[in-house]
Amino acid sequence: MDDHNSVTLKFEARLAQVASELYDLAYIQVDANLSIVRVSPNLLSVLGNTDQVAAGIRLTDALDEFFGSEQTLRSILHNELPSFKIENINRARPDGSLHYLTFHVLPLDPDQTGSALLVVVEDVTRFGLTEQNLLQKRNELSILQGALSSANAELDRRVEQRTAELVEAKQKIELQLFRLQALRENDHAILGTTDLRVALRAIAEQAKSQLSVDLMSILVFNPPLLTLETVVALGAQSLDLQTARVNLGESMIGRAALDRRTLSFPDLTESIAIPQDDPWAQIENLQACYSVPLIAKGNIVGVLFLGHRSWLRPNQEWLDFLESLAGQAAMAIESIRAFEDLQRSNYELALAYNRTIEGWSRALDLRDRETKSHTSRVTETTMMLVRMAGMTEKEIMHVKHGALLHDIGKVGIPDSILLREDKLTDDQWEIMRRHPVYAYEMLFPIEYLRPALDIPYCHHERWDGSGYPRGLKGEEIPLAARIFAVVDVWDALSSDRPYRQGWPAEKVYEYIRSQSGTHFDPQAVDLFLRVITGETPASDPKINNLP
Amino acid sequence: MTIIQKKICLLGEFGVGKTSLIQRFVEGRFDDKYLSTVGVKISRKILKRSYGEMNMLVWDLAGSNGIESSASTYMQGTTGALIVCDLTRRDTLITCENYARQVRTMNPAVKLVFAGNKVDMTKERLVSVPDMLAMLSVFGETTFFLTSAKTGEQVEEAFIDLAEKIDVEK
Repeated sequence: MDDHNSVTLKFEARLAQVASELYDLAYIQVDANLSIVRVSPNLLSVLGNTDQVAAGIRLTDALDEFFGSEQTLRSILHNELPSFKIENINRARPDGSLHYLTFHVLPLDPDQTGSALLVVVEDVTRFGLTEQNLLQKRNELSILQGALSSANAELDRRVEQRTAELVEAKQKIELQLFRLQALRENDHAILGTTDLRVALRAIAEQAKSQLSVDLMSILVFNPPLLTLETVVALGAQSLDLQTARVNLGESMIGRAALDRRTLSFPDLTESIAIPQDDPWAQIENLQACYSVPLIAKGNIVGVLFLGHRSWLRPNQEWLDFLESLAGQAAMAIESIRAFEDLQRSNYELALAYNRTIEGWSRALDLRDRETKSHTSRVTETTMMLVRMAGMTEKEIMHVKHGALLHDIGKVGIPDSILLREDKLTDDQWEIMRRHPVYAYEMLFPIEYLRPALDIPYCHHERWDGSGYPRGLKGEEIPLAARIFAVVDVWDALSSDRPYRQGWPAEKVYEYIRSQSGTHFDPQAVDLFLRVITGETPASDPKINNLP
Repeated sequence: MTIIQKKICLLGEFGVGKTSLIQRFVEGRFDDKYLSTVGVKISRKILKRSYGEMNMLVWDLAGSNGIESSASTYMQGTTGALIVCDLTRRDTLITCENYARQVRTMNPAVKLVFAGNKVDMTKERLVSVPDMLAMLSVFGETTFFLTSAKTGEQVEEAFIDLAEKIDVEK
């Protein structure tokens, strides 16, 4: 080795020592074949003492970092690239601690193409750790932000979902309210009418509207004929269906009634359980139909039939509402039929009462040897007058009963007094005058006849208070009795009796006029004369204002 | 016996678990502590192959939104890449797509394998299989691995699959 080379080597060694001490640098010299020619003494220390890097070994075999970079290294060797750098290589020292290296590759002599490469190895652990620390914080923050963002998105999604659920729930509640309102209106319709057709029509209208179907029909069961008869058919295009009569067990309507179960066909095209030629489906061109039996107190009372001209996909609420409507329809049929039966019974009872009363009345006439038809005449005339006086039909009915039974109390009078042709003694009169009280005692316990007591109890009272049995005066005497008193005297005087001829009409009227204000109520007299004779009232022009 | 050496890279957004996957694959262990990677760390795993052995150099690149220019030198000589997303972070799926597109642009011959990591975190999972398939369809791929560095599920399978793809081109 000459002096010059010796100086050069010393210089290089010193340079490497200084670089290592001051800058943590090491170097590798590589020849044109990419084989290591020489390394700085501190190289293994900088690398971390983990590699076998020595002269004669190919760089790419010695350091994994250069595997795959042969082409790039050659490019630098031939000055095609100025340099090449691999930054921040993470390496573990034998003690397990982490350190960072950066490899710089550059031509050893830029003026000598293809001669050699210099690989500078720099320990950048100080910067690497700082960068790692910063990056760690940034990444953790970023991950947290991402998590927060995801949580927010999830929260938004849940809020949106919850909002949608609330909107759906609100719509459901509104629908249920509408349907409850519909059921309530049906209740009102049922309670507000005794006409079955009106009640069922109201139910059918609500059902058709709320269930959104094309056809709604209600048929009522006729047990003697074993048929179901249409009462209402809304949306039916065929007139036949509006008046249809279905035999029990026939078609889906008759089958629902016979089997006592709902027949559901939400899509007739998919149904094999029902004949496609069912007349109801065919005539109305229905795609869906439901036939619901109406059952009240265990008895079939009808069928609710609905149809739609496209398929239906009903939910449970829809089906529940249909069931409720069917229940209402059954209840309407049952209650209105019960009412009709009750009304018929009442009529029959009232008729029986009337016939009984008329029978009693005829019996009384016979016993009293009263002029033929006296009772019926005074009854008819009194009814005419009280009607003119403004009484209601119900009040007139009671007047009629009272007039027919006006002398019923006489059944308590012994025949020896009642049929005596001579004048009665004072004692006998005393007994005779008890007959209105007897009438009261007989009729008062009979609730049906209690309102009819006015005439039997009071028709012998006088306007001036001189009558019997209680000596009532003026308007203390019931109006019916005041009017009847006039009519009774008029008929008695006008009729022939065994002991005298009937008075002429004018004489009777004169007598009645003469008794106005004493025996008779003047207004009742005026009413009588105006109605019977047509004369203008003398005592009171406001005769029509009788109470 | 034939021994070949191949360089592969793990790519994906930070925190998806690339370092943990390599640790599981190379060292067979898992550390729950998250330590961000700066630069690159190279590991080595020798795989038995039908022809002999593959000396697989696994480059663990710092995670980002894509391959940064300063990191492009790391990709030199790479024959395969395992692109990883985090199944609990939807945005990492988009980053996967960026990486795959960049790798294909740089070198169409690079073999790609996709993995959705952290499959064990079922409650936190936000990326579905259809999401993965939709992303893969962009690259004409239909398979991927649902991995867990924590449990080891499908980790080896993903690396072996990449090795097999590289073998075909050997």
